[in-house]
Amino acid sequence: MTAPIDSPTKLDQLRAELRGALVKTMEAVGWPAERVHLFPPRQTVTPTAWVDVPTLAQTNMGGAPGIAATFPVCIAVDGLAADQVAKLDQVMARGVDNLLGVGDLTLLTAGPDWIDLTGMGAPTRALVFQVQRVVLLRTLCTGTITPSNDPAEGSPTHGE
Amino acid sequence: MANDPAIFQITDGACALAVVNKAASGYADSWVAPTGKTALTAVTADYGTDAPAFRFQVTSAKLTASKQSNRTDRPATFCSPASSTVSPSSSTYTLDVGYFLDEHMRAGLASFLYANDTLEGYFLLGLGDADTPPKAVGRVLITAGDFGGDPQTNRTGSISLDVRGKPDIVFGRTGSTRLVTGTGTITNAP
Repeated sequence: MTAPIDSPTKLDQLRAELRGALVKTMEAVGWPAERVHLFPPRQTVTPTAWVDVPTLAQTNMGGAPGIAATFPVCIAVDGLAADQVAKLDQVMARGVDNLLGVGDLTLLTAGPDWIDLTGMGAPTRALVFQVQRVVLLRTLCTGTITPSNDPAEGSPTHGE
Repeated sequence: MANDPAIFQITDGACALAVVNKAASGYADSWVAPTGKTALTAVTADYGTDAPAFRFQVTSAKLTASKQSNRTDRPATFCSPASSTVSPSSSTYTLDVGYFLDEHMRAGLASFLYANDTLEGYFLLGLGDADTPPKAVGRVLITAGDFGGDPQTNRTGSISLDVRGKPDIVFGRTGSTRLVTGTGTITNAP
């Protein structure tokens, strides 16, 4: 059995960048950075935030075909309903600014959702941002989502 | 299956441009590629140090042929209807390239096109992997491309370069090729 390849992919890199934006957002509304998770947490203590599983799809941005990754970025809160909504207004506004600050990102939607964090059938009010980045552009050379195999990144003059 | 069509997709193509250097050693006006290379022997590296990176920007590259013909109309007579006689002329060609704008790269495709606007250049359009056939080479008139566009999005531009004369094209794959030159010579190998 061969060892798995451990080099980060473009999806790993984007996930880490999104987590960074989430940390800034949580801290801006007075919540600790420890409540931000790279992946859905095994045990949830609200308020909490994480980056969920992406969806990859064909895209045609600017008339050039490629593949875009859409990541759900989730923030779940607790407390009285009015307090939840008031806080989520703050989270939404600051979240948009911080996520767009990541760069090369399109905010598709940001809206409410109910997420069952405990699996006990008691959903919690949450906010979900759907953010998208084109991770693979189709050009004359075959690119990949795994940077170690990307010929463009190995070119001596490309990306200067 | 025996009746399936032959489908060919470009997965690792080449698109290179270089300015014609009439001071090059042994230069001849008949050259279709730098240093007198042919469609069979020309590779991306022959087109200079900046050329290998162009293909990373190119989303589409096509040699487009336009038919040229003249028609002579003969009016109807009392015993025959009107008719039209076609006289063929050589087709004209353009090299049509779509690409991601790379103004931020000082040695990129956008910079090359702008710096060499109106100059005569050599082109290489390779459809096979790693400079292998099918390939086309020839001369074009270089024109500047776009600069700028919409913010916060991947920007693309397009150019249509007039080809001088008829390009040389090598059809087939490595080990079984047919070279058709612009002058009409056809060479099969083997």
